[in-house]
Amino acid sequence: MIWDAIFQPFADFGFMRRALLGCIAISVGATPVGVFLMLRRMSLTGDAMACAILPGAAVGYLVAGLSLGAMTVGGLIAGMAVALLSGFVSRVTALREDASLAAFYLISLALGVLIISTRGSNVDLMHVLFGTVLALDDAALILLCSIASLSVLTLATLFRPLVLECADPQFLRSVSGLSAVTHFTFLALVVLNLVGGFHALGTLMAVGIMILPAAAARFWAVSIGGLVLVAIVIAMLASLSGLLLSYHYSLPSGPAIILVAGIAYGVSLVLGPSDSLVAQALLRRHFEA
Amino acid sequence: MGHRAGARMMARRAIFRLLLLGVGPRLAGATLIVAALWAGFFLATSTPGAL
Amino acid sequence: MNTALAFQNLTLGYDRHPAVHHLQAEIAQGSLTAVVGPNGAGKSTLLKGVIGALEPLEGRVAFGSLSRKDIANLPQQSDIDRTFPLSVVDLVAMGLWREIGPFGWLGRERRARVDAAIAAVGLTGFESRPIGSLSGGQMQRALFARLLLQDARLVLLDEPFTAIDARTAADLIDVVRRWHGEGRTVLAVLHDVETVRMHFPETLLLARKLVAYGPTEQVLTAENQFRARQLCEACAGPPHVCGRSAT
Repeated sequence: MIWDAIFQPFADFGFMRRALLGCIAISVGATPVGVFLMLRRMSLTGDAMACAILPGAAVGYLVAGLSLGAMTVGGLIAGMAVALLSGFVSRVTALREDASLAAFYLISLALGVLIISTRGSNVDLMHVLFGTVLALDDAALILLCSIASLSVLTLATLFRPLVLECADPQFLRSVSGLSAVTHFTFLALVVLNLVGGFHALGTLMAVGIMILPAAAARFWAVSIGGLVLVAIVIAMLASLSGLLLSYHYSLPSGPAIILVAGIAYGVSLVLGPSDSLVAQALLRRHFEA
Repeated sequence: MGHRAGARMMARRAIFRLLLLGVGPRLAGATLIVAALWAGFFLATSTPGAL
Repeated sequence: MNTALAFQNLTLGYDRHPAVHHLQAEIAQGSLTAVVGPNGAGKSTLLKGVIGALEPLEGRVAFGSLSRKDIANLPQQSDIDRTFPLSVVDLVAMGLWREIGPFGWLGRERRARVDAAIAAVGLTGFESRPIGSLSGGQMQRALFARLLLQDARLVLLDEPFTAIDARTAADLIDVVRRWHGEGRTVLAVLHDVETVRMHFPETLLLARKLVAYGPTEQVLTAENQFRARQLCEACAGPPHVCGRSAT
């Protein structure tokens, strides 16, 4: 009975299988990147970049309509430009970026919406903002899987410098010349995964699947490897249950997935074994006893 | 969770340290994940179903 | 005398505002030197000049028998993210970066050396602890273990014993003395004159410019220390300038 509810949709409908695969690809590719974003306290930067992609994708849409290729290229160009700019600024000056980033992503969002509205319909706008996870064709799936593969292989290669670049950049700079390469490769991965996530989940939700599982994993794992693993598992479970929820109760799937990830974060915050509210309370009692 | 169990868990964790692995095992693990992903791709796209 | 490091008319500063003036000194290879001076005397700035984080406004740092690759540096406010999920082993093992680089495997033999370094600083049993759970003293011990593995010929320390307990400080001074015994050159910024007198044969007294340099008992005279304080107050100027160029 319960197995029917879980498996039947995927057995019966190709679009559900494709949606699930797309979400799994995003979970595998984007979530580890999100873990590092969170560890570098760059969650907000991720948000800003996601929005920076929007005007680029919108220009692609102006040129070629709802075309996978044009919107991907537009988004990549805009995202890379912003990543380079912000990476450059944060490396050259020690300026706090938060405020300027917040201003920046609001402007990008407004610009993107405006560009699309000048030519397209509200349906197209919804498509761009919230993605089309239930209508992923072969080309979109190939794009998502390629981005995930590239992302996983790059992270595996640059794992050690990346960890040091986050944990102790001063030390990395003193022993290795890889600091700048690592930094910009990482920013490129962020952009790449956001552009991929954008096709399935939309601009606004793509950051969610990147950041929320990572934030939740913080309450379960204490090692960096564990964090990545837990985050991926949470992202996959959120994708699965979000898709099923949207299927059974006819909810929009992108938001459903992100909402489940959000619930996972809430539950972890309260109940997770490491540093959660309950864990802290137990620890306090342990010390008092 | 007793103190002993915690210590044992830590010892076990000490064996697997992602940061201290060489690039070979790291890439091997990544390749496995990538292979599984593409296997999933062919599974999801080859079988016909209502789109 | 074999020179490890020579300051040749070295002037360092921020925003064209010099913090170290026309410093002329030679650090002998294998020497154990304390850099002492009042607040804002340019001590940390000098170390930044040595590692090349700061370009000289004038003059240069010349490396005699050494090069920049031979330096291990322990900054005062290390910008290590203590909340990052690293264990003590992870942190210490990175001291072997020159051997394992970004791609190499740690392996059993190197792991044994990592454990030995951890034991040498008295952190055995803490291997799997996350660095976030360490006290200030324990963290400093771990960083010293990492320095041990870096196996550098020139070790720079910036206030290494500040804000840690006396027991830890004593243990870490032993490590420094061991480096000295192994013929490594050690340059340490310190403010505790007692420690300097007891353990550091050479002292460089700095007050933006060189006050005195040589054997510690000849440098750390009451007269020299008074002159250093006076110099620093005189050249510091109005407080807002001082604040900007303080190190």
